[in-house]
Amino acid sequence: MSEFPYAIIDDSNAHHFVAGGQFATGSTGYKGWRRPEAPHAFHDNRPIADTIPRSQWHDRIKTGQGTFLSDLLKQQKIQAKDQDGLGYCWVYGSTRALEVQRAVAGLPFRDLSPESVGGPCTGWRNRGGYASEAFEQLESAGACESSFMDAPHSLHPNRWKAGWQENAKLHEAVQWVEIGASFDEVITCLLLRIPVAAGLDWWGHLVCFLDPVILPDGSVGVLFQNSWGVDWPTQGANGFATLTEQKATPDGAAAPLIVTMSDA
Amino acid sequence: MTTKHLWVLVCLSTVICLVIVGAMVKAMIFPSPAPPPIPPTPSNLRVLFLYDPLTLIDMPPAQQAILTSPELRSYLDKHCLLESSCVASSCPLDEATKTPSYRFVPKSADVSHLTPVWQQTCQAAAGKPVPWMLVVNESGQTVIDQSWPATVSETLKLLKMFGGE
Repeated sequence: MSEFPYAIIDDSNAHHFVAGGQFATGSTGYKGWRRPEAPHAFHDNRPIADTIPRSQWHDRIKTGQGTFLSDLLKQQKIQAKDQDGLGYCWVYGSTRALEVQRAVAGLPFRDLSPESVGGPCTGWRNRGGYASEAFEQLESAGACESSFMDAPHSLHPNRWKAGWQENAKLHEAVQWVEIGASFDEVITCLLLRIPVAAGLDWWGHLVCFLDPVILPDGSVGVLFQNSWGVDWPTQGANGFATLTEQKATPDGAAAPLIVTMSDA
Repeated sequence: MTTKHLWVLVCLSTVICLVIVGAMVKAMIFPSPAPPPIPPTPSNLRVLFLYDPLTLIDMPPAQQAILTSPELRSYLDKHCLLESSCVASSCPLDEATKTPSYRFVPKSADVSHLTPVWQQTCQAAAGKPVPWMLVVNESGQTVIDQSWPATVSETLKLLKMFGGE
């Protein structure tokens, strides 16, 4: 039996990944959805009809082996994003989910700017946020290509190339759904090849969930891609790691169903 | 029939048998060279997969795999026409890249940002029950117009009928 190829984050080692931990090499920025100070209402806009029963998960994961979203990312050599100091995980993970949905549609890969999504939400300040906040912006105004920015992570749109807002309109989340604190809803989306931007309160972080996986102990977990560069959690790992059910049950999450069908 | 005639017949039959056996032995010892492989012809397909994200859950798992199968994408990458990503005045800021002409389009998606030829292709499949696939060859002839096959391998088999190996 081959060795499980990804880092597994569970209760025993999660502390390594939070602030100050061994692998906590990046910024976060996710504000707990259900915290009293959270300004954003949960819309209770449920995802895809019913959830897929747990009794079917293992068979469906085995049937789909090699054809989930991470396989598409690997085939297209799409590299992990790097928020590098910005507290913008909530837009980095959400924008990655939009890019993944573009890849599913067969549209050419465009490196989209999370800053063009987060900036208008925060008044161009470096602060945390929520998946639904990001997706509302992605729905109304989209994300421009990073090549419009004057520098990586720039929060100075006055220095960006003209036309970035028009370009952003070509990369919108036309239809998306919110997901509550439900692992069943997460796995249902992933089994249906719908990426999930998942906020994790225990981590204060939001990442892009990609695949349902069977972990070495036989339980079902989640393969995700982080936004801390290609060398997290280990060199060349391209941001891929897995979470157990307990760690992958989101505080709040959102998933793009339909993106703007635009080649540009 | 005289004895002489019989002898002639026997001799002729023997000669014919010897010729046939000789040819067979020769073919076994000195086989003729295999015909040269037929070079793959560029197929330049345009492939549309139409589906409904809201009813994906009703699709059998093996059929869902069509949506993201790298094996299928590799085939499409090689056998679909490469076309510019520029649409009207909307070009990527960087150098325009070429994209293989296949798309997985949600049935309710607005396709007005796609090229006119893609809009026509989507229009041709509009109203068909999803999941539906439509394949047009480089002559503009529709060669596949049917529901998604049940599996990735069946989809590849179908595509290879018109796109080659």
